[in-house]
Amino acid sequence: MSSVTERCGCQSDGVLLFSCSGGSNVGQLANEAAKALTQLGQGRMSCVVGLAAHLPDFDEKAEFSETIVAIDGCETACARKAVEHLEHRVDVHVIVTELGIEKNHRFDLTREQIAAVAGAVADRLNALSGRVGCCADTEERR
Amino acid sequence: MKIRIFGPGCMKCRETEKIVRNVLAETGIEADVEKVEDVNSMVAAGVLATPAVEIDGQVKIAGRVPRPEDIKKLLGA
Repeated sequence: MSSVTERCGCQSDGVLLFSCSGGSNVGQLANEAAKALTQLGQGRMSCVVGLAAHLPDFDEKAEFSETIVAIDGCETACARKAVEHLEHRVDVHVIVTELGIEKNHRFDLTREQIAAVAGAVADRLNALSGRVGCCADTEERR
Repeated sequence: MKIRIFGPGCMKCRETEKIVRNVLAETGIEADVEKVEDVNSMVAAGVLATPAVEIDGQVKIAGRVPRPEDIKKLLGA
């Protein structure tokens, strides 16, 4: 029996992910990408609505995060604007439509589209600081 | 046989790759082993927890370091 509890090369604790999560395919792709990135240990998804509603917990999280990522569905950039409205800086900003995905109001998202958005965010995070993402922070027992 | 190991390069992922390669060497099973480190490919493969091991297009293990016995069983060794 052994227990593997040590953290891997994760530097994502300070990465906060805000997605627009709006009412279109690209808004929901932003949301799904933020979920996937959180599950893969690349950051921690937070709630842009909570931030926009001026809830102190969300404001405090943003205040003390090392890196803030805004993932927007389209150029309206609601997530980025919400973060900046609260006077927090956005370090990485990805707009889904700029990745070649057309906005519509059907929700037929594909895994490949989610992967493209999540991959674009991860690439920009890596470029930002040379950081390497990590395994999910799970405790394993065997 | 094609084996893909998903992980961004941390200790657990390196350990997983080592275990897979050791089992292949020990059993003499031939396989094409690829280490996948980019998030795009991980999500596209449906991997949302690493390290993960995919064998011939199917994710068999995700979110933990496998034991050598796990890999042997999956390979039918």
